[in-house]
Amino acid sequence: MLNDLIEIFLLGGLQSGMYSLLALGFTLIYGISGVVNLAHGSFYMLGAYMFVTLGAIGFLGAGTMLNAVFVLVLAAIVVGIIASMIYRVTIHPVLGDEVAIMVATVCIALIMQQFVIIFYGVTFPRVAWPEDSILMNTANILGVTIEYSYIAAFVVSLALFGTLMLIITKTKMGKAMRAVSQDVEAAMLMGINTERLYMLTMGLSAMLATFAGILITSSTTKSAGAWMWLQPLALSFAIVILGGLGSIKGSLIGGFILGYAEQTVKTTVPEGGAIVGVVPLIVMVLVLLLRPKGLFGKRVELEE
Amino acid sequence: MLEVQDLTVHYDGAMALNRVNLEVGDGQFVGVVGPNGSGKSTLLRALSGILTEVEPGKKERPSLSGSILFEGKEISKLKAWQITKLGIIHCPERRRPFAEMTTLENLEMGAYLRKDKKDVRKDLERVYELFPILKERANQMSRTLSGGEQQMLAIARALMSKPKLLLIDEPSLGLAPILKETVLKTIKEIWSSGVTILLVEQDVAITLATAQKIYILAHGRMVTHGAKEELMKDRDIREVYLGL
Ligand SMILES: Nc1ncnc2c1ncn2[C@@H]1O[C@H](COP(=O)(O)OP(=O)(O)O)[C@@H](O)[C@H]1O
Ligand SMILES: [Mg+2]
Repeated sequence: MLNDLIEIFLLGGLQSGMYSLLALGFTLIYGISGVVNLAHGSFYMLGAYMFVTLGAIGFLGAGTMLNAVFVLVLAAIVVGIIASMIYRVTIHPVLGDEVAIMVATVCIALIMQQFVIIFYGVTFPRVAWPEDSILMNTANILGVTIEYSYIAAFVVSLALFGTLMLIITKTKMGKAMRAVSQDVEAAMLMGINTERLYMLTMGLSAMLATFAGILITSSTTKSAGAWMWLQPLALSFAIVILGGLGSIKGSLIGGFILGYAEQTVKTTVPEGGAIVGVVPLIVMVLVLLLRPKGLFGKRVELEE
Repeated sequence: MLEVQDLTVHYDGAMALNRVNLEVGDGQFVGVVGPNGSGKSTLLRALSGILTEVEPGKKERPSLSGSILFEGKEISKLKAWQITKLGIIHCPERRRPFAEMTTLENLEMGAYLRKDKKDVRKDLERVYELFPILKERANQMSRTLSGGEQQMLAIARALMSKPKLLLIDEPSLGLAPILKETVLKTIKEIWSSGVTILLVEQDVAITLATAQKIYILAHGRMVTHGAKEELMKDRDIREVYLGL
């Protein structure tokens, strides 16, 4: 019993941090441009594949940790640039039309899935850190076996969360984002070029998705695949519905609720690992039935 | 400085401005009076470019024809941010502060496009001198300010953009008489510091008391224009449009 509680506390916590990161980009682009990006999971997937492909090149020495970290950042930048271009070409022209945005982003997701199948085949490449890295080992904390990669993912997730909060509250770009989310017309009157800002935000959102995709998939028990975008998309949805769409704090809170809910099922239900995929969906349906605005969703603006 | 010719605006088929002509000379204080719904806000929104800034996917968008020349340059096709960059600053109706930002952050947003950091700091001091209350409220969320304070903030924010031409939409709306006075006084001060002003107002007294040249707008048409004395000479205008 106590062991179960410790396991739920530790693994659930780590899981939660990563989930928050996953939903962060999703909520960010919605909060600022009003785009419900159904291709969010696809940037997550693209990030993981980019990590595999670029990692094989070995810029800073093949198979070294330094190179892996470099490739992690490089993949985020590449996917960020791709995402902002995709945004400009496909989403921006239909901005303001919710249905068209959904159609456009679903199409992007399906195209990216086919793209992955064409270029990589139906394979399941490992998104792995170098073999000799400590991240490939496990620790034993209070009797719970935990992969170091999970701990690293958790720490990086929280660090990225903090970084984004800093960007939003302190930088000029961040203040422009908040201004746009609060009153887009007034923001334009200040001289903010919203088109450019939306492109930047989509890039940033996709960078966050990339980090999430690589960090989460780098666990030794996971691998990439052409359908890996769907589950994170469902998760993102569930989390932001819990936390309130467009709320940054909400994505943190929603991430933790869902992370702990999943881990509780995994730990306590026999064969829980197999059915854990329905947890976000159940949570989502419950919230929509009981509190359609989300647990904390009073505002849809970005908070400080 | 500003020359508007045959400006016509339709909202989804309904005409809001009908071949409007307007001229604002360098350094002038021009006023436009007209009752509610006559098209005053539409005029300013057309000038600042915000009128046509509709999200690309939206079906209904206002259509605009005619020409708007600013310092000899056609600006009617420019984006709102480009027009702001030229120095046409629009202080919108209902003030529109960024509610979840502090007073100071709002003022910083006004200076968004400016690169001259030193002068921005000087302008901030100047704005605080004009509106001392804003200094007291510097770190307060703007949604907690009173209506009068929000109006001051809106004007101050516009000043932080370093306007050449300042467009002000109904600054007196919903203010107590004494606050109206304060706001008007500062607008006059801003004008005497060299900013060209185009003020639109429902309040005839305010416009007559401030503007050098006054346009009368009714049902989207410019009825007439002239200096206060000229307008007052015409009995019809005085009675029908100015209600005096
Ligand atoms: N967004 C809009 N869509 C449709 N009609 C509008 C819109 N904004 C204003 N109008 C109409 O245009 C006319 C002028 O409005 P407006 O410019 O706001 O007048 P004013 O500022 O003088 O009160 C009014 O008849 C109003 O109903
Ligand atoms: Mg108006």
